[in-house]
Amino acid sequence: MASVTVPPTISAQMREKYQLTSDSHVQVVAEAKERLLALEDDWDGEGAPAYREQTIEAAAAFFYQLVERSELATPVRILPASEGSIDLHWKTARFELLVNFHPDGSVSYYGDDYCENVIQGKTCPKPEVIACWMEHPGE
Amino acid sequence: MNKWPTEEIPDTDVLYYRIHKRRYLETSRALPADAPKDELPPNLFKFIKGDLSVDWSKYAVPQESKDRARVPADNGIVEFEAGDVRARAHKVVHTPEQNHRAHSSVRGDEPEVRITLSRIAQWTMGFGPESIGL
Repeated sequence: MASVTVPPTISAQMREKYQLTSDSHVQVVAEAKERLLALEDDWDGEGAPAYREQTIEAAAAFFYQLVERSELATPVRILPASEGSIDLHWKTARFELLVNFHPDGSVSYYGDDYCENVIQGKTCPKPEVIACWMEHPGE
Repeated sequence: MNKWPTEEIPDTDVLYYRIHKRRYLETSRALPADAPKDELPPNLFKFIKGDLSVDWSKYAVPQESKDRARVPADNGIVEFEAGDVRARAHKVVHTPEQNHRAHSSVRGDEPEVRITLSRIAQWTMGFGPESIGL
């Protein structure tokens, strides 16, 4: 397997804090961070604000905690959402989950198994709860 | 004062939503290579202060929705039926503005509404994956 160079945009402090073992996860976040921070005010022609580093860091911290608990968290999409917020989005054959991080620190989430089994809330979810749900979304 | 009365939008009526090319492109860059080319991820649906603005087909056609953008050519239009939104217990209300009678709003729990819309919306006008070189 080819080695992955960890970009300098991820702080050593964050790596140590979450005891990261997978450079690929760091790479995913670093690429997203670079993309999102390059978006200036009004980047979508409709007045969208630029993204703040602290919003991205909050989403990244949650992602790092989640991937420690479930391999299913790895194929995440880190996407620019409304009003400076960041989406962590997972779409698999068994479930879809969206966790939205706002610049003011608020978090909301929704996920389902494409049927009636739903997980949702308006506070930052516990990574262990989300990891468990990802493993057994229809139970 | 708004001169237009507020009306009830029938379930069978269509709503139009505008997506800016840059938002679509930035999203596409972040998707895995095996993502369906016609996928509309939930971040494409933009809430402002709890509302997602749409145009009601009773008073607008897709071209008019597109023309309301600062640069119409940079925007595409997707559509969905009001009833498909309400079927997931979200609200669709007519919220006319002075010079914009078609203006309507989708409301509800934001992450859930955005996932719903990403599943039911279809391109109706503007750029598609081919026209923007994806």
